[in-house]
Amino acid sequence: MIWGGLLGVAAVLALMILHDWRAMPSYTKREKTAYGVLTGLGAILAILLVINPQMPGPTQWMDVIYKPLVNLLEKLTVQRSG
Amino acid sequence: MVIENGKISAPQIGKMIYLAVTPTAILSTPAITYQFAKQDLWISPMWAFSGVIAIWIALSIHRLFPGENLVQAGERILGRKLGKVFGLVILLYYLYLGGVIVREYGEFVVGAFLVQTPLLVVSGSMVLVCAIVVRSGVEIIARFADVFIPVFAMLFLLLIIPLLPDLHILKMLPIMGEGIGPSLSGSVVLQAWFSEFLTVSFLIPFANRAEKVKKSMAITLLAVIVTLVSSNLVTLLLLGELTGNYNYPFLIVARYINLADFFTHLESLFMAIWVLGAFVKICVFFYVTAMGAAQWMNLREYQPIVFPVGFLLLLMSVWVAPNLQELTHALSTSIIFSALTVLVCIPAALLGLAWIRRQWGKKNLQD
Repeated sequence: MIWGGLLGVAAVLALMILHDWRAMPSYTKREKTAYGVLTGLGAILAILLVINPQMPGPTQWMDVIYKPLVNLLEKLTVQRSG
Repeated sequence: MVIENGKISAPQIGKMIYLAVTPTAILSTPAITYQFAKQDLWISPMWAFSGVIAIWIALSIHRLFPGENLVQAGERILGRKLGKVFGLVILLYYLYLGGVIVREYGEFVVGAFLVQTPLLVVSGSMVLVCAIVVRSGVEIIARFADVFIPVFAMLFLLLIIPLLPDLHILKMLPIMGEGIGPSLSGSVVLQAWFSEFLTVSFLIPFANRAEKVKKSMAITLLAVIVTLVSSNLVTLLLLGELTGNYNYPFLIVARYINLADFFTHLESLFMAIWVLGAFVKICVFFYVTAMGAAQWMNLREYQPIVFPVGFLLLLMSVWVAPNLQELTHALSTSIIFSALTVLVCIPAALLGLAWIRRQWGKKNLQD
């Protein structure tokens, strides 16, 4: 399953780069760097997500930050429905 | 730096923003709002404070820094380094919201229609189509909004009008039985959607007549409120207390329609509304992310990074939540507060700072 996922990620990235390859010579150096960095970030994140789909994401980080406010809101809900 | 040559009109901006707010709001808010507001859920969309504030912030910032969007103005106000941090926060948040929207789209299509299709195929094909549109420029997105708004409105009316005889007015009583409290707390959820009006800040710089944007935004806000009030009202008057039990109450409403045993399964109309709306919505968020990221990195044009950003968007849609329940829970809790923080509070602080600096600067000049 993991290998299939990794293969899928590689295939998508390969198709994407292949598609942009023709236009590559017209990009400036800065644009090529930006393309490379963003694609690299995407590749890393994709591999991490394939290996561990339950990896805590931005939503969980926000849950931690906004815990007090969320608790307040949920108390309101309980009062309304109870 | 000119990164986009397209010019769009003020009404087009209004239509884009309308489609960038309404579709997901019709879909997922009635059930969440109902938990707080009960039979007052149709009043909740009228408390659109964060929408008014977000539009006002976006327009004020544009008045102070004509031709610049929020991220560019942030760099002017906060200085280079802090401004870059500010820009990164806003852009990452747009990427995150984009991921949430793609996920909502995928979950709905898979959950209600294409039950056998993998989620990634549905959301992946949507992101691909949007990437091609975003690459073509802001004018193309604006024209899609132009074309889709009449279709959207017509299909929406086609869903509501056949239901009118089946609505039970008594289900909305007592109106404000416990004062305005419940409807206000119900509107907390909607503030996340209304704060998305800040997106106009990224579109005004391309307006051919920026002074007309104010009026078209007022009309847009009103149109969004009217749409949400009518969809919530129809849901409530048909389903009553059951509204809170469904993930997508409006879909149930659409399924209910049956005219002479001939017009049935109108949920396919709702599906059409949803795909059209979500398409423009994802395009707008995708465009803001890609264009903003290109500006942030001082690129000459944003087209080269559209596909890598699209790949990140697709990954984000997987990453935001492990399943639909978690996503709905996040939508009714931490996403509200983070949207209010990032899209209303931080830009408001930025605007305040800009004003203080301007006043201070004037005083220094006089001395």
